[in-house]
Amino acid sequence: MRKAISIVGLLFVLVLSAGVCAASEAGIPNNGEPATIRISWWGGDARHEAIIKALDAYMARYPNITIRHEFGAFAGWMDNMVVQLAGRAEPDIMQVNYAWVHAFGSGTNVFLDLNTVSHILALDEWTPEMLQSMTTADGQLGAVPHGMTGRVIIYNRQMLADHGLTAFPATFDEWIEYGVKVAEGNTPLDQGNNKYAFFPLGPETLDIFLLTILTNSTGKGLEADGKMLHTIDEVEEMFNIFGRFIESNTIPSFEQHEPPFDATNPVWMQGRGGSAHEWVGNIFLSAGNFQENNLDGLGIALLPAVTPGGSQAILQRPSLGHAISKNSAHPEVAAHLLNFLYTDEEALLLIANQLGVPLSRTAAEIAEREGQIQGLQKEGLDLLLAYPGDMGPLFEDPNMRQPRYAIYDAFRSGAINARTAAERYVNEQQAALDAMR
Amino acid sequence: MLKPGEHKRNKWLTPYLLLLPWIIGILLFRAYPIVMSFWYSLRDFHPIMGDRGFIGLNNYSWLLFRFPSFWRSVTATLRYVLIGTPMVLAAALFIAFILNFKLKGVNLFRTAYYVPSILGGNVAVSIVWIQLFSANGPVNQILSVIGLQPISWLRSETFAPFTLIFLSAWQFGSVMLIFLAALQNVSQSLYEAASIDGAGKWKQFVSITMPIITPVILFNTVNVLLRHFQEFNAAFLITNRGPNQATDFLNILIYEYAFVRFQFGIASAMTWLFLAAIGLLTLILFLSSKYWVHYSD
Repeated sequence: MRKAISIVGLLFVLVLSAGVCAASEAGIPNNGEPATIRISWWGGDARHEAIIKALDAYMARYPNITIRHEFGAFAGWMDNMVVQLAGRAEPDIMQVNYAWVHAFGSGTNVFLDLNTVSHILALDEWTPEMLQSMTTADGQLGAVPHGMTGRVIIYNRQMLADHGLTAFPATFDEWIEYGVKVAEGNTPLDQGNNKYAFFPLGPETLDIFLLTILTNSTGKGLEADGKMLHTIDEVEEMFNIFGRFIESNTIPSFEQHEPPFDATNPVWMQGRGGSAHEWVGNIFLSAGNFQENNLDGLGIALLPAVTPGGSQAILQRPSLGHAISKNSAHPEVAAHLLNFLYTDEEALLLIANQLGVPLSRTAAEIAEREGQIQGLQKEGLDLLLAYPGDMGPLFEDPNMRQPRYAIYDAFRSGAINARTAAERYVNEQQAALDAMR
Repeated sequence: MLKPGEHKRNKWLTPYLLLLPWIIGILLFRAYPIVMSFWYSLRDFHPIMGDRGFIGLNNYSWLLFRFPSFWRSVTATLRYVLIGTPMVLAAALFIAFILNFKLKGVNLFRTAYYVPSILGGNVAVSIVWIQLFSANGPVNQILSVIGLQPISWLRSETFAPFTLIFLSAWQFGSVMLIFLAALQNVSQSLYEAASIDGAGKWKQFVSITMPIITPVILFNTVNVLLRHFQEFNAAFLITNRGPNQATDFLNILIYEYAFVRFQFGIASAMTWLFLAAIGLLTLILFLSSKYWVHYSD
């Protein structure tokens, strides 16, 4: 009997100590011992202020932890991060871009596999699909995504109404028909009066627009296992469609499209662009530049189908994510802080929508409850959820992207035809994939 | 209290100790990166993915024989250098020549012409340049006033390089000042003697001024040539390397491979080829100088 009591007593102590241990892991970081960790991010002033407040809240709650932060603008951020990573001087927690996780993460000693800290970081906040998007080829979870983003059409309501349309075109044929009407009276050089039914703000817009054509018309992504999935004929067809947009002046010709190649271009700012294809995550960046923030003048729509009834999937990727350095001296403290930033109500209210549209469970619930996602962004987000598509991890890799930009320019300027453009596209993309092996 | 031998030893050592910070700086921040860049050029090196090993001259042969963009970039750079350099020199010499006369308010003009060279190729200047040369900009409006068709300065492969060359030519201030100093050193007695012999202003300029200032022309040519080879900002900010790679200068291509694609091996090989090209052109310039540069003694 005494022996039985002893065993029960021992089990009780074990269970209790396990509970204490678990509380220590999830509750008090570093078992109350002092620790200093570094975190870095890019963004604007509003984001900086919001995150710093959340970090202060964390330090107030866990005074044994000191957080040092580094932040700056996105321009040049990747260079800065690569230098830090190369010198093993990176912060413990890094805000990362989707493409970086796959470009730098696979098979390297860079990002911690977050599955190893899943006892602290609540990975069930994300759906398996979201986590999969940040999982590298060797099966490691390089980062957790803050949200998903994709591009939707934001269109100029007035221009649509001026041409007798009540809804944005649903197919490419209808769009081009509308484009021809809009472009009537355009001059070969844009001298301040030309109008276009579709105004791709920059090369990135054009790039994703063309990949969407390719993916939605063939049902295939760009690559798989290091092999290009599209044939030269399929890519040639994509360039032929692109050519129809140029010839009909639905988009500006090469010479009509002058810099700056972003939302500050006068064509867009003055309302001479009928539509743009923009990220849902930072849709207000382009919308805010439209006719001095005339948000009521804009509507949200899906990119029209290439053929009637065809797929209108939105190619999506994580908007940004957070990774922990594999060289971190305090990976569990870093995981604890990440968990706080993604699940703690106080932190989420302080950060609000400064990191974009959150899709992890608690953050999304609070954003919904607090009405943080509204207007055009809400409409865009609804489309995003209703029309899922996958951009693929390597599409935005600079080694893949730079050759495409050169080919688009050469085709659009008339230097090469659709067949040559397609041959270069497939061959140069495959060469870039081969070089990554 | 120093012993006799110690004083002598310290005297020998002191200059080297004083030079030491500079020597350490040059070894660490100049010599080491130069040596490393050559080492990288022979390897497949990525700053994060690591060193994938020695690949000999593969980076060089890939650039020279299998990478058309490299040659497009070389062409764009050479076009910019070979047209831009004489244009800047001519503009600077012309204005220096005018400002060498005793004109009323000449100091104001000298300052005014110098100011653009202080501005450099920054973002603000780029925005001004984009607006000046846009299809609907003041330059095309002037063309239309004199009955000419507007030109696509920023999006035409033919004209876009000239938009950047004009910017460089506009910033001739420092070159002009050096020419001005040289012109002011030409003895007036030579002009007076030539004038008595019946030489006109043009003859005086060609036969007296030009030969005397040839050492300064050589100096300015080398400087402007190197500045043009190193052009980055204007092409990056104004034409965004386009249109169709017409202003995709080598310096920007090196930047792309080093800091966008992180292919240090290829970027380093490109840098060494670039250095060889600049060295060759400078050597030709120096070798040719014995035929056209006249030193006074």
